[in-house]
Amino acid sequence: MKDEPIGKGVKKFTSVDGETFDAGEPLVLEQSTLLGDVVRRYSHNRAAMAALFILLFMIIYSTVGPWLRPWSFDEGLYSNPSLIPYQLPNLAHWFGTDQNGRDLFVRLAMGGRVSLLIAFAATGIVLVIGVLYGSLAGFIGGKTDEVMMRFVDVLYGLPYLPFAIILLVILGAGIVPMLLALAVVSWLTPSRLVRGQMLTLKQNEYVEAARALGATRGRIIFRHLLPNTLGIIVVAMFLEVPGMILGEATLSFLGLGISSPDASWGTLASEGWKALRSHPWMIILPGIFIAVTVLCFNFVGDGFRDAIDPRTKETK
Amino acid sequence: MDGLKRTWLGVILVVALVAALGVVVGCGDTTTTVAPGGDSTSTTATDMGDLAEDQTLALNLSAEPPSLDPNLATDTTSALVINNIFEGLVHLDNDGNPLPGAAESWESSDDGLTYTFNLRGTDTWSNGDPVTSMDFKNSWTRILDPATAADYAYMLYQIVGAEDFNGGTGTADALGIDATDPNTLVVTLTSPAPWFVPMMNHQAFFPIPKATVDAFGDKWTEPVNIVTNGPYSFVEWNHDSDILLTKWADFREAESITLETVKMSMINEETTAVAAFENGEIDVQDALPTADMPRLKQLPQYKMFPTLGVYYYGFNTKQPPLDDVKVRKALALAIDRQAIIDNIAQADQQAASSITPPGIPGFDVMVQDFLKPTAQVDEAKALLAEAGFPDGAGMPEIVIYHNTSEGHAAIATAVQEQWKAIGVNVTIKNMEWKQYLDFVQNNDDVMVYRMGWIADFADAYNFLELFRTNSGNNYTRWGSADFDKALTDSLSAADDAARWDLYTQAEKIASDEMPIMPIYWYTNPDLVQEWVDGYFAQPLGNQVNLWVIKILKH
Repeated sequence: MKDEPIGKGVKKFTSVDGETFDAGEPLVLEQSTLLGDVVRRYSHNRAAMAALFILLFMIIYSTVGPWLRPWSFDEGLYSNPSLIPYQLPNLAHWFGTDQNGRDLFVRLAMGGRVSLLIAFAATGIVLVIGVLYGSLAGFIGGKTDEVMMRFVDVLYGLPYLPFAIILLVILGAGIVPMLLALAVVSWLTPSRLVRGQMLTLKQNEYVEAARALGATRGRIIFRHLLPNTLGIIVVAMFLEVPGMILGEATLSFLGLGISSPDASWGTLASEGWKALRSHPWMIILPGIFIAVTVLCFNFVGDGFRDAIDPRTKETK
Repeated sequence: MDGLKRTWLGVILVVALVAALGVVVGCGDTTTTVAPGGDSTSTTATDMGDLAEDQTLALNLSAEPPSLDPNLATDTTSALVINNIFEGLVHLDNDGNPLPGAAESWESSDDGLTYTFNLRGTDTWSNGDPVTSMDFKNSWTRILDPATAADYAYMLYQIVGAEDFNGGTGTADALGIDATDPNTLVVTLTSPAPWFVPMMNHQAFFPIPKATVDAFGDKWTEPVNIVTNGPYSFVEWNHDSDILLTKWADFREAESITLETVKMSMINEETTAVAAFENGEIDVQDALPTADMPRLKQLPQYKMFPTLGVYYYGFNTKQPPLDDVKVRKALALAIDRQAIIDNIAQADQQAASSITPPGIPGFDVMVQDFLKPTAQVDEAKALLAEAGFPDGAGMPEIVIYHNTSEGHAAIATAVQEQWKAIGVNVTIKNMEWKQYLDFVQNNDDVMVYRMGWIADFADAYNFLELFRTNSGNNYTRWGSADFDKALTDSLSAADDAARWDLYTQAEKIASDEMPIMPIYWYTNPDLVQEWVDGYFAQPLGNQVNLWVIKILKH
């Protein structure tokens, strides 16, 4: 049998993952590796590459931005009288100042830290919950699967936004409640995705073989099945993050987010909105940051999906 | 994932659209009160030809009125509605002078202890019942009844027997309220009160339809149940959304009232409300967004009304570390009041150095200068260190509560930054007005809360009695026997000078113990469309006599 791309990918992926894999097929090694394929395919996707660089730039800006200017993110005219509120972007304040005279370059960078942190952390939580839940349901199957998936269906029926708002009202504002609110309403899709994949994968002969050799369920799931869904999970992650950024921004915009003086892009947009008529740049900047970041994550996610899927045609 | 993403995207889109429609932040109390009366108020003479066909006023109330029960309402938002659907014994003109209302005339005895109000005998309630002196007696007995637990009961304490009855030691029969003649109400006071007649314009003294109140309990203020005696009928109340008033055709002076309909909205974002105003959807907006103040002040619709009021932060004096007076003083000293006025309030407010605002008789004598317009950071730090929190070390986090409003939020963040400068960390929480009032009064977790007080009558007594131990509007959990005594003594003071001296003592006690931290003395900037003729927000309670308003052609 010719090595079907998907089978090849599977093997390679496990080996890359650090498993000793002593099948030692020189034949396979001669061929391009999956990772190599992915990188090659991805790097040919110009939009995805551009998006990746912009994202890296955003992350770098958020990380080092606050140190580039002499003001701290919560330093305004009430503690530093030399600051003037509502300044247009200028040489000293590259992005202008807000209603308290706080430097927006610094605040947007701090906001980026919070927004990205929340987005990544919430995505992490979602993936862990979703992957565990989905793989259990998919692997065990039968009645258990039925019950677990009907539960997911029920949760799907809940309207996200009111549900998240109620959670935040109960838990109060803050980073951790925000993470929970976003995670609780977002783990359903990954869990379905992984379950579907599990159902297909567990029919494979190597699973049969592992079982015959007496491998435990946990071993089969974690050593054989999950690694094979990794591609899908990575793509899911990239596509999940922008949803989280928007979710955080939405809830913050509604006044349920991080509380002053801390900021996220959502709360900065919310503050900017209040000054829209007289000082429009205050909402334009966080708006651009949110939009660009979300767009880039989508491009990167799409790029990875195309790159990982071997059936995708190579793009120039 | 896609579904979720699309949901969020949709939400963002909607929010963005709403944002595009709205714009602006403001500050000011969500309070606005209206008083009937004032016939001849500054209305410019208008010919019928100048009047718009549609005599409808759209006014933004900013919040759901917490209560429309005259005996229970404590805030200006509620009072704005109550004062136009009920009628008290008197109305006030724009200068605060009493005009005949339900009472055609009144006399006081030479010693100032007995007031006799003469009712017309022809006025009726909206269900056809006559308005009698019993309706007033019923109302006043109800507000004083300890079972009613009305916050404003203390306003009536000067009536003979009122304090005892309200305190549970007296009986209703002993009250100095005589309604034996249906058209004559005789009130006996324990001490002279020069403000007693104008005070009859306050909703606490309004009559109530007792049969209706008894029949429907706390649902009696719903439009289907309510019985009113004021110029406007209470037609619709869609909670948390809008209120509709229409002119009551059987009102005594209905023929002379031009304004037919009043639509009240409850938009609490100043930005949104001002955008609606600029689109012509709202005729009157009294809370203005700080970010747009410089621009709004240039508009011809920008009107400034005099007002008697103080914007303050109250401390829960039972909650550590605020139970330590040094901490309270340190926090009060750390505030740069002038910076808050210059950058946020922006409507020529004055930095408050004590509780009673300028414009109150005797202000020049009473004014205390304990609180400076600018921050006294060094003194604040020294006090904080004395209290055992050098540079804020070991200081628990302080929570500032405010009712939802962009302006209050802006002031809270300014205060937060200023307290941070002396090492005190602050978190800020906000609640919708009705829930907020309930919270600050009944939940002992409250720490620092923002509040404002607009005078009910033009005397310092009205401001100071707020903080008496037994005042229902005292949310500080603070009480001082000396403070109470100074106020009680002031009621029997020989003359103004002696009275003001006692007020000064009370102010001194309050600034020594700092249960509240005054920030500024209010002004009242409103946006009023140019086609609204006769709109005037009174200094007392920011009341608006809607019935003198005319809508001009536009």
